Amino acid sequence: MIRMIRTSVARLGRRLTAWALRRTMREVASKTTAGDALKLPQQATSRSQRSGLLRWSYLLTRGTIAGVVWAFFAFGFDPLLRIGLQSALERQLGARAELQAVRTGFFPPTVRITGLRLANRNRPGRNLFECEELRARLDGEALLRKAIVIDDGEAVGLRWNTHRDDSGLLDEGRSDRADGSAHPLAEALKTFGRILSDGLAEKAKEELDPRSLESVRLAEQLRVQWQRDFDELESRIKKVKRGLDAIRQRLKQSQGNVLEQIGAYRKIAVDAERLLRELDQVRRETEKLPDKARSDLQRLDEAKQRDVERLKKKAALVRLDPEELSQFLFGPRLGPYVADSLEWLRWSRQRKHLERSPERARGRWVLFPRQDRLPDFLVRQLRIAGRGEIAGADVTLSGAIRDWSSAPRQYGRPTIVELAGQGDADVQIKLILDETQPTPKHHVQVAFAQKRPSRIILGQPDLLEMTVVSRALRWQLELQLTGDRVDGRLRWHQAPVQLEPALQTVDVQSEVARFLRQAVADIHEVEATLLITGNWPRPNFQVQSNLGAVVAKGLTAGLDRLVREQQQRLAAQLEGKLTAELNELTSQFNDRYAGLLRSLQNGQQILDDAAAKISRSPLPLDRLFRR
Amino acid sequence: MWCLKPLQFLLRALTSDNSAGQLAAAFSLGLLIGLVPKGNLLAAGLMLILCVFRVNLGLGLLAAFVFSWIGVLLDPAADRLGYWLLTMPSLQPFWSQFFNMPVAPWTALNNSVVLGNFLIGLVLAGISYFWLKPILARHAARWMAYLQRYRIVKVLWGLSVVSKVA
Repeated sequence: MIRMIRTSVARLGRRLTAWALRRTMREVASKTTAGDALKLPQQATSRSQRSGLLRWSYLLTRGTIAGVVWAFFAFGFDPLLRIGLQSALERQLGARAELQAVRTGFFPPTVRITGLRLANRNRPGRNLFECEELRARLDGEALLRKAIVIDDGEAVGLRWNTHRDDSGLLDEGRSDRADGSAHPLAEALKTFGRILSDGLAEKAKEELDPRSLESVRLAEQLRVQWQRDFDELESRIKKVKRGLDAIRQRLKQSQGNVLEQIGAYRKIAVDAERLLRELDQVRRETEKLPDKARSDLQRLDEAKQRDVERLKKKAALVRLDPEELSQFLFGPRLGPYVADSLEWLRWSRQRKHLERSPERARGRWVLFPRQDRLPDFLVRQLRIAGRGEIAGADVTLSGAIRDWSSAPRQYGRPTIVELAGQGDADVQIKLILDETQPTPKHHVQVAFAQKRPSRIILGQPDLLEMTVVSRALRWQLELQLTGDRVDGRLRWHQAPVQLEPALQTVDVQSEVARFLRQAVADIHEVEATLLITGNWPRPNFQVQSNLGAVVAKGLTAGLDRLVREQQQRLAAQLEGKLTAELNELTSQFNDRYAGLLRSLQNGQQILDDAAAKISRSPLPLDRLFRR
Repeated sequence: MWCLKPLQFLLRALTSDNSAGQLAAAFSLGLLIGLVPKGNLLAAGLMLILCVFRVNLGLGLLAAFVFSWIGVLLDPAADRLGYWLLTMPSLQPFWSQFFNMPVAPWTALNNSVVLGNFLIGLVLAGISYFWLKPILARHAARWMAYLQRYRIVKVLWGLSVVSKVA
């Protein structure tokens, strides 16, 4: 079947070609000279005369071309423009841009963009904003001069900071998460949190370490020393006793003639004298022992006093600074508002200015000054309507952007953004972005007022939390960015309020919390001021509030009480330990002292017996034993 | 043969207007269009001129295609020429006034390569027209007979002739 079709087509083609060739040969034969070409118009004329008055070939050809041009503008221009806009936005923002559709009109020039989404380069996974529809009327005269000037525009269905499924980055491996976009008070809060936790939890759990106490170490030393002293004295007494026993033994065994006995007794007398002296020495030293013990015990007592003083100092808490406490309480709440505002300012600065920079093309562009001083891109007015969340409140926003240009210095006017929101809160936002001078100046004013009851948690849940229940909340932010210098102030006010403090530290919660609750019971309004100074991107922050001083006072009172209790506990532990040590020492001393005295008594008895024996002998030897 | 009508119409548009002058003019215009970088109003305007005037469209498009590649080789020279003209002090008032006129900025003539290639193209187009016209007048028929030995030429020519007959 296929072969048949193929064969038929080939046969038809051959016949057609042959017939055409024959006809062509006849025509070519008639047109062999240049002069014959001149006959063509005549033939064409005659042909047209045959077909009618209109030159259809001319008309249809040109009509087709016109139709192609129209079709291009009707069906091809918008998609191409969409692609061009998308790449221009991505180049400008450094992040993905999506446009669902672009529709243009020429008389008058208008643009309508639907489904606009711009990713946020500083927050992967989030959109800078998205818009259901953006309508703009262009200035036709400026457009003829290659300047895109939007006289009046409207953005409807605007939402910001919405979620996106991908990161939105052009280069997936690189994120430009800004340093300045981190929580501005994060480091300060961490430090203060450590101080607070050290003050509460760790102090509460601190126990006495005996090895660190001087008195305990001294008691141990005294025990060892006394033991050694008594042992030494006892060994000396034992030695004396052995000597005395030897003398007694020699006295028992003394025999022989008088002369021999005198010699023996003389020796015995000498030895006895020596032993007596030794015994006396031991007695004197033994008699000194009580005084020495009293002196040692005095030293022990002094060491104990010093230990108690040291315990008091160690247990003393770092005094809570009201300002640091204010920073701790309000930092997590107020910091993000400032961080978000700074991030918007940062974003506006990072836009690459389209100062008619050379495009990626062949050749060099030579730019000539415009007589009308219009930049390449200018939005005279763009009205905005949208809905989103601002500071936790769902608001419907409306406003306008004015004089937003790609070359502010050339244009000579600052960009002004004014927005007003209603809903859960009343919001007024005003931005003035002045880049007409060499040093850019950006000014932000935000006023937020919430009239419905709110429950706001200040501080950090794992340490100290303050729940503020209020009927009205108001805060105003004013921020100025001049070059790299940041100056600003955020004022926060809630009234009337009820405060509910909560301490999460184990063991001290009830006691300190009770003091805290008493301290804040009289507060009926909460005011705080966050001051911002310094340089981009890491400015300094300082928080002052009426709550800081009160909470500091309450916490300090509670902690002081805690510290005192702890001191008493530690002192009692010390006292108990030392009393036991003292009792042991005293008992040991008394026992050994009594033993020594007994030994001395024993030795003395032996000496007395020996003296009595000698005195019973016929020789006048008793004078030898006179002391 | 209704299905061949659009093709015939297109072929007629491409192959009609085949006098020596029309062929030479088409070639010259095609040369100019090919040299000028695309993506601006100037190129689009030249293309419109090619389509509107009674010149051989097929030859013009073919020449534009070929000279588009040759134009890349001429870019360095065109850049120097264009830049020199654009920055000439005596011409500054003229350029400033010109580029402040409506539509003029869209022509991209303030790009050195565009201006340079446009001027080079104008010169070459003029030369090629006056050079090609007598040559085509003398040799077109002989070249046509030579080309018709090829099957594809026959088919194309035959279809064109068929449309005339039909």
